[in-house]
Amino acid sequence: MRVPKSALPVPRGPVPPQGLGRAPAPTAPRRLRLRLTPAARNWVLYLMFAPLAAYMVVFAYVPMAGLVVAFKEYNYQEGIFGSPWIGLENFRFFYESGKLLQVTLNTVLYNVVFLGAYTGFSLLTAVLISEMRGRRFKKLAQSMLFLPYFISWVTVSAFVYNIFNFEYGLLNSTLRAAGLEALDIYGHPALWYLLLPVFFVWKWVGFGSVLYLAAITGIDQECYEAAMLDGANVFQRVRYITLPLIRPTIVVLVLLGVGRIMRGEFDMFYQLIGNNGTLIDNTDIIDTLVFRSLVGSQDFGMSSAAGLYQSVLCFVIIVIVNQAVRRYDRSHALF
Amino acid sequence: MIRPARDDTTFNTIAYVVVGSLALFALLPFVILATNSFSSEHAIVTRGYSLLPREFSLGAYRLIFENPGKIARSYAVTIFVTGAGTAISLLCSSMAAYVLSRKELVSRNRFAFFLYFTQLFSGGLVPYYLLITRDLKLGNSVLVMLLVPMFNVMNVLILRNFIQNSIPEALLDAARIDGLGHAGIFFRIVLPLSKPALASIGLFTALAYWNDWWTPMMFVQDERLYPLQYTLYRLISSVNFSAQMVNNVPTMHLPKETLKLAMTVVATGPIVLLYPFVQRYFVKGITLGAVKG
Amino acid sequence: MKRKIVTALLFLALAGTASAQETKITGYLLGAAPAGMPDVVSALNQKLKPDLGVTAEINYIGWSELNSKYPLVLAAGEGIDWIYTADWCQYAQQAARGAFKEITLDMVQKYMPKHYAAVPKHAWDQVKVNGKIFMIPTSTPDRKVPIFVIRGDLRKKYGLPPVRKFSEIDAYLAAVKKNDPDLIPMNLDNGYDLGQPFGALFNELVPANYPIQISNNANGSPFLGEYENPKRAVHSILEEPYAVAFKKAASTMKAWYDKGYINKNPFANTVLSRDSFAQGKSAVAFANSQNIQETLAKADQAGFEAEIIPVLSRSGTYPADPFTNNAVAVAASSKNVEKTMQFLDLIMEDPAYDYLVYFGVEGKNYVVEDNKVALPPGVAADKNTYPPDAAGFWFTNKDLFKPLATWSPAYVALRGSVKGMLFNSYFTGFTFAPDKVKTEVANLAQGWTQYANPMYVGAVPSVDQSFATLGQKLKAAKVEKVLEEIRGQVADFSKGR
Repeated sequence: MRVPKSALPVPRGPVPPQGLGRAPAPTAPRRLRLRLTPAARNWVLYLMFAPLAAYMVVFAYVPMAGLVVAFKEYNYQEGIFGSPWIGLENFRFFYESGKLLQVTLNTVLYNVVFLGAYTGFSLLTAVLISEMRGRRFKKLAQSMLFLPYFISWVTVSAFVYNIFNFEYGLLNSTLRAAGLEALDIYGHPALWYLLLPVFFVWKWVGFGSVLYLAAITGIDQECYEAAMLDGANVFQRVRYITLPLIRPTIVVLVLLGVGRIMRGEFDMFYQLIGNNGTLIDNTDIIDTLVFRSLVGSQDFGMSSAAGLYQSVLCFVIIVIVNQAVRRYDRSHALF
Repeated sequence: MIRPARDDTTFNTIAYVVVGSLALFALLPFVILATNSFSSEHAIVTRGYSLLPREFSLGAYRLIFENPGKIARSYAVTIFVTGAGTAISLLCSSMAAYVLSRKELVSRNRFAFFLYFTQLFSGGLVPYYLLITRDLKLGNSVLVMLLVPMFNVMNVLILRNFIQNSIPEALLDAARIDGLGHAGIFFRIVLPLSKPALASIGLFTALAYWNDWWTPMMFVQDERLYPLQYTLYRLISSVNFSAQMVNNVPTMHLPKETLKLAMTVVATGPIVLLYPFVQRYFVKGITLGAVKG
Repeated sequence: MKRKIVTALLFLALAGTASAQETKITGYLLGAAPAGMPDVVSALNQKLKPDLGVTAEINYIGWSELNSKYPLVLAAGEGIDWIYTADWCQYAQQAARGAFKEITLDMVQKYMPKHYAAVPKHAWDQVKVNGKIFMIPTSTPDRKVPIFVIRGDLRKKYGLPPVRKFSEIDAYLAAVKKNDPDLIPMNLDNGYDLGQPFGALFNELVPANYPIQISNNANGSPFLGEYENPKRAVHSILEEPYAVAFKKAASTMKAWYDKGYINKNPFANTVLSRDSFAQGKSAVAFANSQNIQETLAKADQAGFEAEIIPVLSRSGTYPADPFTNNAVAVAASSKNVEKTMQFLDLIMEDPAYDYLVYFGVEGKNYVVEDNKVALPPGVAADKNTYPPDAAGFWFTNKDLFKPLATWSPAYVALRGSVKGMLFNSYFTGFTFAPDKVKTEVANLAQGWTQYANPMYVGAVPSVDQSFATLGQKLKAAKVEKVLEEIRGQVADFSKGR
């Protein structure tokens, strides 16, 4: 029996339990132990927030002052604040490289694809795992999904080389044994548009699925029971209860991903692509360009300048996107 | 009683296929790495990886466990740092997340922005390094390994999100009427109900601590304080180095490629055991009955 | 609990008094402490106490964090008295930024008399940056030349004549490719080997030259200096006859690459050619005359009959390593400059100290027998807790050492023959300080890595096109401007030499 969509709850925010739960008892107000004004009661909240805030001030905001080194010619003896100002000189290498636009675009596009694929697969896995039967299989699968997290990109790179290399890689040995022509994977830039997202998802889907699974676990069971009593099958339950109810989580995680859109997964790109000139144009991101340009000189000012460029762009983008989300639903926004 | 509908079977089939293939895709490289870590260096260099080790050898493992005292000490340091760090981090992060979820705190969004801003802008490595080594004099201590990776704003925001969406306000209102203050509500109601989120964020934090080799690399000189990942990492670096630069060291059979693989296995082993322990929190029904009565 | 507090306080008090009495000299070396380091350090401190009244502490900066941590340690300036440095290890950049203390020759004469006597006068000219001395060079620079090794057993099997120059191995490579399908003729890695074959070919076509490094991590450079030319010529790769030679060498590499003589994916390969050669996987190994020793030993075991051919310029020379290739510098923030220098004098030039820091504890890590340095009886090479060279004291006076017992006669002969090939020029020891043109250098380094490195291995569709692109990118990065700057610095450096 198909359940009409309107009959199921369309939740926004926490779900009020249906017909259950205790309404505030309309009796005479009991004498409260704590009689404080709302503002004063908040002192407890401030106290609870304090440790984290203190940590942030010391370990994040204090060093942030060092951002000025992006505009200075750093000298060891004069330190960060004594070194001379040189204006935008440290940024010059970046826009004179002729690659600024290319790497910015690459960074954004790759991150968009990564975010989309990662979110999609994590959601899919989480939803499937939460509803499927077979407890032991579920647990086993979850553990297995987590394993790629432990394999560093350095090791992945060596592994991939052993599979893909032209001379004796596993892939090409198999192809040759089957009488086919060997493939030069490292020589075909277009292939990496597909390979890189695959590697990214492979590494992180375990993580993402855990997050979404935790969110799904937090959904009140009563909704499902009510729906099942109404005759909803599993697909309908997923579509009308699970997904809408974890939408705030999805939005938060996507927003957090958008906030990092200008920062690439440097390790992955550097280990897999390295200095391979054939692949560089298609796979270059801001982080790798900056690395190649500056790795020999260790110039603090220039590397700080590149970081500042990324930060400012991230900031502008996330503020705009967050504002847009706020207009839609205030509680979904990051801040 | 719920009858298993036909759709359920379809769903389960799809689920088994999709999840199964993803899990296999995730598992296979690890298995190949693990089996090849038992291979000889010669076989790897000449023939690459294979499904079963062509020439069985414990060379890489012998090198790692050459100094069992050192490895044992590294394990001890890592376990301590991971345990203590995760506990403190979870407590303070969830407290802050609770605060951020309170509607009566008018400036809560500003607080959230205050936290999030640190994810966007950073002074870079130099001021951070100077702060830790020169100004706070935290270098070369267990404290620095606890503090540096301790907080991640993304975790706080995810926890806030969970508290906002999965813990019904009605529950907290009822508690307030019963006379509980914020602290009471947090410890007696919010925390127990947040087990799934705490379990997942706790897992991530523990993993971050477990895998952290950057902090000791930058800030710790005393060998006795080196955690596991860094000890292994240095082993690889020194082996690579002695093959590249050194003129006089007869390093006849030093495993290099196999060492990388063995390292992954040794470092991963214990933490994989943590995961099933955490999994039991990802079971539906945690919030069942919380609102009843 | 109270007892624990009291004990802790006692320890603190003791530690406090202990450190107040002795000066601690802290130094940084590259690599990682070998297992036997604590014993060596305590033996060292035992000797230092009566001799100098200081305690030494040695810290390490690992190879993989060299780029990030080395400048940080100097920037923090905390607890650092001396640090290893070298022309290839950020010397010029860090000196220009004020990381090191300026040393005058008077200071060296006063606090390091032994070392002052051991280092020839012209060496001090090599270490100058902007006219000032910031490092204490080694008294025994490395004496090495790049070499390549082929398999004599295969060469004889295919009836090929001996190889004297790199360009002559074409027939050898073809034979190996045809007859040994399991072997990769040339298996290059993405670091050391990448530019070796190309460089060997290139140097056969042009006057003797040496690349002028603009960045410590770029593989090769667009600039080179003709070290035998009395006119002190410095050129960029876009000038003739270098451009033509570059293209010719690149064409040869491309021909070899297309024929399958070179591995197709060197940029992802981390296995050195020497290792794959020793394991019997490839037919050519690239190394230098010093670090080839291990490969030779393995090759002997496997019966490969390794044949060593040095890679030299057209005139049969190779530029001598400067005195700056292993050195130490005193940190600008050091508070014990005199004691530090005296300490360095001891470990660099005093035989007892020198043997201790380089070979370890006598009787435990090494013994001297037959006038050679050998392992103690019953200690296998890979069980030695303090292998020579592993601890990072490469700047000590190596002429004080007896030869090692593990050196094969072939290796010793090689070391001996190298001396005649080395050429000391006006140019030796010059390091380019890029601070005035750092933006241009950053872009040149990037462009060279992206556009020139693929040509080194022949992985390009068309050499002419790729070279044209390279030229474009170099010009866009203002290669001429940097060339002028380099010419100016070389002129200053080589005044009066």
